[in-house]
Amino acid sequence: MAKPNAGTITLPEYQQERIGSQIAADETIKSARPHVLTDVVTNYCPGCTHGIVNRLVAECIDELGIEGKTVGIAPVGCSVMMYNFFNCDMIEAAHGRAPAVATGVKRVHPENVVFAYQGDGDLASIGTAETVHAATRGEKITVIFINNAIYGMTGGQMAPTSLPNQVTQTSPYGRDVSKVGYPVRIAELLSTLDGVAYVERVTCDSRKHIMDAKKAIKKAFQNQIDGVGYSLVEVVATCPTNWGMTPQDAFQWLRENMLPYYPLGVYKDVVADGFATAAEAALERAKDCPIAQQKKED
Amino acid sequence: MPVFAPSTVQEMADLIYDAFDIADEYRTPTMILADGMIGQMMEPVLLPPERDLSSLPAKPWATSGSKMERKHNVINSLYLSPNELENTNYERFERYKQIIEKHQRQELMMCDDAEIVVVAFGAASRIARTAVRDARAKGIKAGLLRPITLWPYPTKAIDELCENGARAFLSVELNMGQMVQDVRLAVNGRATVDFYGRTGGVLPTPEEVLEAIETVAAGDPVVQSSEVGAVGSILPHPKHRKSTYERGE
Repeated sequence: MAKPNAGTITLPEYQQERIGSQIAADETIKSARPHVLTDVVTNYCPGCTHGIVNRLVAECIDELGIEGKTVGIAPVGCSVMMYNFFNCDMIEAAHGRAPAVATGVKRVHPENVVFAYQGDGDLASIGTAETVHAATRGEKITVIFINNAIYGMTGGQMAPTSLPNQVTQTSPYGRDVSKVGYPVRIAELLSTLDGVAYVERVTCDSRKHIMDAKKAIKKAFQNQIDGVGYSLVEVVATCPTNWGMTPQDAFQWLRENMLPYYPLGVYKDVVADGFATAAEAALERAKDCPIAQQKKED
Repeated sequence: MPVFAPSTVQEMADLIYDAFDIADEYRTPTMILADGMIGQMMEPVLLPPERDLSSLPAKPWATSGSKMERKHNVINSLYLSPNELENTNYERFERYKQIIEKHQRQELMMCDDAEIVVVAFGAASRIARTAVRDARAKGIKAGLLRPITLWPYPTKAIDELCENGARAFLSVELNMGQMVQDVRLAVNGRATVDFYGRTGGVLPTPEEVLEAIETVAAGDPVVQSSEVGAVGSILPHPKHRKSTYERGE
């Protein structure tokens, strides 16, 4: 999306319609709403990181110029209404099934750019099977995973990603790992799978981290456009409402507790490793396995 | 949801195509209900020739990318406004009504003058077919109604049978009587409805079904209670309940 410069307002038509009448010719517009976002009030709580990540995804879609061929899959959770926030085609999947729906859309319309946007209750709990199998099948889709260590929409219950000793609605004495086990580290888990091209964990607690997150999300989309393979970006996020904190305190808690447990970083990147696709990387990894090296005759 | 109950492997293959077409036309899931026998059976199959799909209904609702030429499409099932959801439900039931009108499907055998109609689907219908022929040979005016669609249920066919003088229906099933209530609803008091079923993988022999037909023909109940379809009242009378061991299998 072209950024209008000070004094010379060259807004696209759709934005002129929307805000053109409200700005004077000498005003500077630093940032307009991405085209792919609709002009609606979202249902996200004040301070919620969904708003930031929705915006980042939208900016990436705009900048890559792919709105017309993008199909988004909304999860069940706080971002279920996302299909109202985006101007691209959207599908609301059953709880946890976004990767399965994305698989269907992508396979029928490989020219489309298909992304799933899911929270931890959706992706890492009820949808674990779909998540792991879409990843290991190497579906050429992009998954944005919001991990806030809790079930947000239903009121802050313990999720598979809740930290040890974390107090939630359903673990009032803290998550007891001797009874309910340990959190799932999705980025690490998926990085072991051959079908996966790219996994990175990011967060959005600061300007720098937000820009890093955007770079990762854009790469995850670019990978799909280039046919590299399955890409997932895990965003370590907050839930001020259900954590019972102010947004600032929530970010502080995230820095102190979430990031040591869920370290940021790139967990797999076949392009950075010198491969064109996840398939090439998988072949190299299995170089000592004769049957895996057999060429498939078309 | 349209449910198709094939009775042969060939029909099972053929129905897949019809089920896809109906799913496509009405935007509804469809189901092929193959029972354990049909599902595991080996029979020759001829697959239909490939056909031109260009005449399939247009899909302006599809989420295949807006190409920036139209408003974005949304496929969802979440309607938070009661009015919106009510309208959606009305629209859905209008579609269901069309399916009920247009897509009832059944096979009738020896039903023109049938007084006793055996209703059976899937593998049970193959046993019932032999039993009905045997009943005819014994002079009983029996016929077979084989529902091919279990939903929509072939109520129009049952209407016609009732008008043509059917006085008793016998639902023969390989379960505890799942279809009995459908038959009773369709018959709506115009004839008696009885049930003969075996379950757990026990297959009745044609002779056993014939015995049940004869019981109905004699005006006696096959089930222990006349309240067919009520819970706990669908066990066949002991004389119709020989175990496979008693049969010497």
